Amino acid sequence: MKYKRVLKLGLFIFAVWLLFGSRIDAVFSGGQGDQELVQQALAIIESQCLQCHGSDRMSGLDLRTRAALMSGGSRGEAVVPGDSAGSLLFRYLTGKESPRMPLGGEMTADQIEVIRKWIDSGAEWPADAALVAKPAESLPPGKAITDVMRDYWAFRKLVRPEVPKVSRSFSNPIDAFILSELESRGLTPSAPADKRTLLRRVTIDLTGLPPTIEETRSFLADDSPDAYRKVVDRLLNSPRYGERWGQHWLDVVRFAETNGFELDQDREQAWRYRDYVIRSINEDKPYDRFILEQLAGDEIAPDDFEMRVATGFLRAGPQHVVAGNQDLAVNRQEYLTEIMFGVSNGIMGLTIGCARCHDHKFDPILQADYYRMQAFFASSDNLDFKQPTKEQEAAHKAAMDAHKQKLKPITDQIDAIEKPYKEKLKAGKRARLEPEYARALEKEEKLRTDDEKRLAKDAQSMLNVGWDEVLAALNPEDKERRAALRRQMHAINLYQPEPLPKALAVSDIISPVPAMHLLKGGDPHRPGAEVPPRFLTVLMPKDAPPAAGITPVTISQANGETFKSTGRRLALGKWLTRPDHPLTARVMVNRLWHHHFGKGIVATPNDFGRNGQPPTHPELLDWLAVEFVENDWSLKHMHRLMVLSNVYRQSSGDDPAKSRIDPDNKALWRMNRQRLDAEAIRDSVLAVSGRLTEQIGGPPIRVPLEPEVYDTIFTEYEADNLWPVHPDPRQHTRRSLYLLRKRNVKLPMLVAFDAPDLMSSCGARSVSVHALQALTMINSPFMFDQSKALAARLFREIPVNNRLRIIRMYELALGRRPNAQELRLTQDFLTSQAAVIRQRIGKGEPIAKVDNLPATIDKSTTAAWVELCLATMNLNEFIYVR
Amino acid sequence: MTKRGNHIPAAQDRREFLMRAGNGFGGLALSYLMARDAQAADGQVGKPIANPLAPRQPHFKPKAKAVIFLFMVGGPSQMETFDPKPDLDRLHGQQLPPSFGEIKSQFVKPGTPLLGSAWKFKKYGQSGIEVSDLFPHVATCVDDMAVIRSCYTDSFVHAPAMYQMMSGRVLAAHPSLGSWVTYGLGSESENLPAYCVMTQPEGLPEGGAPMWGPGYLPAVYQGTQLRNGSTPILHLAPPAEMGNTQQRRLLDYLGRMNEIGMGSQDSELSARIASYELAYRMQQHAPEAVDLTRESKETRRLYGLDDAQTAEFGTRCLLARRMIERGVRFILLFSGGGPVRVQWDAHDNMVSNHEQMCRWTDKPIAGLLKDLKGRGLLDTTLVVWGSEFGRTAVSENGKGRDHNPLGFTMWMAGGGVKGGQVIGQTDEIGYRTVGERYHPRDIHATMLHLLGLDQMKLTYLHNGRNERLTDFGGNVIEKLIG
Repeated sequence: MKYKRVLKLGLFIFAVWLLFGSRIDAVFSGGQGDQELVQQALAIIESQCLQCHGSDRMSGLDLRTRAALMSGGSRGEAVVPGDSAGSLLFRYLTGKESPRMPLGGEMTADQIEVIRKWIDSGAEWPADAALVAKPAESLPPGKAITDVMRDYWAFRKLVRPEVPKVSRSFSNPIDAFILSELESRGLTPSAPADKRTLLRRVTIDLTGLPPTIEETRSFLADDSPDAYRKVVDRLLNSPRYGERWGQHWLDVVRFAETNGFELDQDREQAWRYRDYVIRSINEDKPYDRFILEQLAGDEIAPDDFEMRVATGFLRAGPQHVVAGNQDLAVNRQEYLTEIMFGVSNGIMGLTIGCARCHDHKFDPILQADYYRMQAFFASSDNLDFKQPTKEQEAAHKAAMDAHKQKLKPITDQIDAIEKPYKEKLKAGKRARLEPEYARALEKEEKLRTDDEKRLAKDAQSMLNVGWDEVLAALNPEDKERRAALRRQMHAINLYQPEPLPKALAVSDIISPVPAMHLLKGGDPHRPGAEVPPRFLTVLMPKDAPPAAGITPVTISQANGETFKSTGRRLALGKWLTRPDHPLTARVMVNRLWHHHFGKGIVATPNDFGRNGQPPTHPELLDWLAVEFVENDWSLKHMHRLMVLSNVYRQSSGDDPAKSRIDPDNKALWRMNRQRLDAEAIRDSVLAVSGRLTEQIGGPPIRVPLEPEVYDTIFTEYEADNLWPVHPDPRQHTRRSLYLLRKRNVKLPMLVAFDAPDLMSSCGARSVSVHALQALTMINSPFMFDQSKALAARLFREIPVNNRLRIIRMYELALGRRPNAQELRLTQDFLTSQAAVIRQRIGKGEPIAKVDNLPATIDKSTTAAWVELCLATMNLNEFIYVR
Repeated sequence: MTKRGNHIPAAQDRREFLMRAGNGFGGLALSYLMARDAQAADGQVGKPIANPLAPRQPHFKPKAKAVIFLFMVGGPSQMETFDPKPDLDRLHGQQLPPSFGEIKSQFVKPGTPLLGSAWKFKKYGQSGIEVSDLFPHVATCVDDMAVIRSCYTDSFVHAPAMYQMMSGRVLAAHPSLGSWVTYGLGSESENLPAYCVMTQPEGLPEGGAPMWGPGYLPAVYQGTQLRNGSTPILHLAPPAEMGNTQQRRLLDYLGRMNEIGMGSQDSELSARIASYELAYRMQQHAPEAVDLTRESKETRRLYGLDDAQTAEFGTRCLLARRMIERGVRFILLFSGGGPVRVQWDAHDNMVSNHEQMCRWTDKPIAGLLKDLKGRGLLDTTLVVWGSEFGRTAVSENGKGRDHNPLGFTMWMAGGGVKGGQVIGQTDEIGYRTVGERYHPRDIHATMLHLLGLDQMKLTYLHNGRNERLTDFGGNVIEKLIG
């Protein structure tokens, strides 16, 4: 069989020679033949190249006329008449340059041969010949968008519904909507939660931290009717509020500070976007403005650094960056796809990603719609924006020079240690080269044949000495010296000067603006018809004009030049933030509701489509959305409304009778109990232990990592400094959102409690219960350290009385006092645990130690307290908000 | 029943006892779970999952109960292992015949000559399947193996191809195979994580943790990376300052305090109480599971533990068998990771690289297959050997090969696989598949099928889409099934 195949191969070559060889002969037999060759070549260019290199001038290259051909493109001269091998056009066609052309198409070997001959014979082009692209392919018809589809609840125009009439009195319209639904189902609301429960609930909800003892006491002491309202105002004005709700938005945009994928490189200064979000939320920036800035901050205020940072939204998703041959068209499409995920899941609450390959199966979103939306970003790409002053630059350079000076003596010593080993290894490799390689290498470069050139190049790579080979060769003494020097080097590098500020921004820098095409099956190599930027068909009036109201924006640059931005993103932003946009406001108020109540009115906050859940209270949702828009898109206004409602303030206690009617509490006859999310658990532990460092913003922190987690950081290089821990331990106890968000390596505790994967938009975190959570909560060094800190704090604050100390621990950790049974059991536990610990001391085994306590305090007692603190922070009541 | 403290008050009836008693996975918050576990996972939204690892019924009667995936990081060469190419050997040093088109890969340049195999192939077993001299031990197991010579993936870059082999897509955002399997079937093990990952001590595969990540499935379904030594699970041991007695007492106190004021119907909080008991059991039993001193000398020798070259990988293979015995559902075992020198990624030198990698793994893999078989475990344990791709027919840097996703070999054994057969083929030089060809989607569909799971029914609703491991579906390789 194999023999047959080889035979077939031979026949094929022969056939090609017959066909082709004879034709080429004809070409060179006279003028007539040349004409024919030119015609053939131009026909090939017309059919194969003009889709992109016609009026679209991709990469600046236009192949429609001889003049245009000869002026080349942005990558240089396209054709060198008489030299096909030196012509870029030919090199792209044959794959000598990447990507191989034509993109998405294929040229046959004989077509390529025609082009070669044509170039080699002078690339003739009749003076009057102008090529015309084939008429563009028409769009697939797509499914019809009907009035019924337009009338879907999420796409309907926003109209403020009447507040329903209910038998109970209410002061907050939210309650009327809830009561109306409860009444219709024969349910009644639950009694209000007690003050302590309510305070803990609203404090953790709005700030992600438990109330302090002082806050609890002051609230309990305040009998005025607006005591609770005052608390809510205080919390909304606290900077902790922006941190907490910033975290929720960061979940939605899947913000991380590394690229993801195998190399997972750091995105230096990505934290500026995180800080921008926190600031915006703390300032109660109107949500429409917030969206507009993130889509087109550069087009709104090009000189404003912060506005550039805002566009980091568009590059928050993962990005695959890797060496070697790349498929640029695929990479570009992945980039645009990530942007589309951010805009559609995040802002519109739609899953339009399905329409990448075909019309959306469940929602009225056409495949063409997908690429029309993408066309708003046709010329957008990452652009790091910097605007340092001369002084800043000079200062930074000076600081860097000084830093390098500090490093130099160390790196010199390391080089000196390595040098003899490297040389020896290389010599050894050279000696072991096979003769053909050795001979090629020995030969003078100029005299090498093509074959020898290749051999010599391969030989060079065979002589490369890897860092791991050097490491393996070092004698123990040198190895230790080198390791110590590298530790010194890493220690110095911890204090490397901060880089000059830069915004990880997006701008319309691809020029000219590439034409966007529908991609058949989502395949970048199968472009279909061209599509202009346009909004989703289903959200447009039936006979809406195709134009999207786009006006290019002129941006003047620091060097005095001006630059034209397409204005497309701004147009998209303005459309999304129109007061009557059916999705933007609905989606956002639902996100707020989701976090306040544990479940959205639409239980799938990222999907308002038919595959998501329908709203439990559609009229309330619309009312809230209109209220939001009419109050200047103020988040704080909406928070106030929600947390001041009676439905929010009711108890979360169970009621079997009501539970039978509405087991999932869809009608909200009680408040939902919520488990703290991962960050809130860690932050609460720190707040209670007293170790929390409250400091807003700044570069991300690397906290100490368990060795087995450190090992999960991928590298092919020396693994001795993959996680430079911040030198100041007080920084290790910052709030969780300031810890480095690395896509591939996350803190085990956060992962255990369902922190999102940072790869796709997360609108609602899952809540799971499993044993690895328990292991991290009782055994991790972090929890044990914080338990010691809490014990120390309690001894500091209540030095003598055990009972009072237990009460204080309860107030700190749970926001309440223990009851008699709890007090008794806890005292018993302390006593008996101390006895067990004394046995340990007797056997010389280590026990938990609490620093800085008077020597008079019994060590077994303090150790028992550490364990009590650990147990308390493991209580259900600590992990859940009632 | 394990030895327990008396911290759980006497239950009024059996139902309440089951609801409240933290008796490992079996009895954990049972009535709550019964309602959910009538069938395999259905991807509900917004509901807390009380015991997401409770064992679940498969969709239909399974052949395999558990999986050991032996992942050879970096791409072993098919033409040097399980796919003999005498024509390629003959064409050694010559240019690629034009009929094959151009070879595209991550690094290789056009015009690079072909490279023949440095090893000979021999026929083995009753089936007479050819295996190269690199795998003399594995070769003795061919009658249990179905060798698939026509696998392909969509990327010639390591990580995307790894993600595809592990999650069906070239992106890093989707749940891994093992996550889907544990999501679908839960765990049979009360003392060990359901999905265990054992990496090369020198480092991770290029794809890193997303290869065993849960993607958008709940985090509980992620693979747990086992570390060396007696405490294989992160945070398994109590802090050094706290002895076992103290911790047991602490847990008793914690359980007691948690129950004060808790409603008897509260399944989520009951599950949380039970999770501490389960954690405690893991702490007690996991060290035993990884204690190889309990294995006989013959067994240790079978896995090559007596030979410095094979001891490391052999240890992990032996651990895999012990975990299978203890009900672990999915084991992902890597050969290769970290420095390129310790991967199957032979860009520079096929001979030195594959001699080393095969030497390290040949005997342990054969030992694993034989041991599983000897203990009657092979019938229900699906063993898969494979990688993200194979290697090019043309050379790179003289004596190495570049990545080739267009045609490469994987094999499966046990767990309902019909052994002693070769499925599919590549062309004369081992570059592209010829005829029937198998994508990771097909491999995954087949694996799920053997486990009793219907690829189209195992779904999870994420951002509006019912996601599946096999995306729009793969084809079960029917002839592979015994």
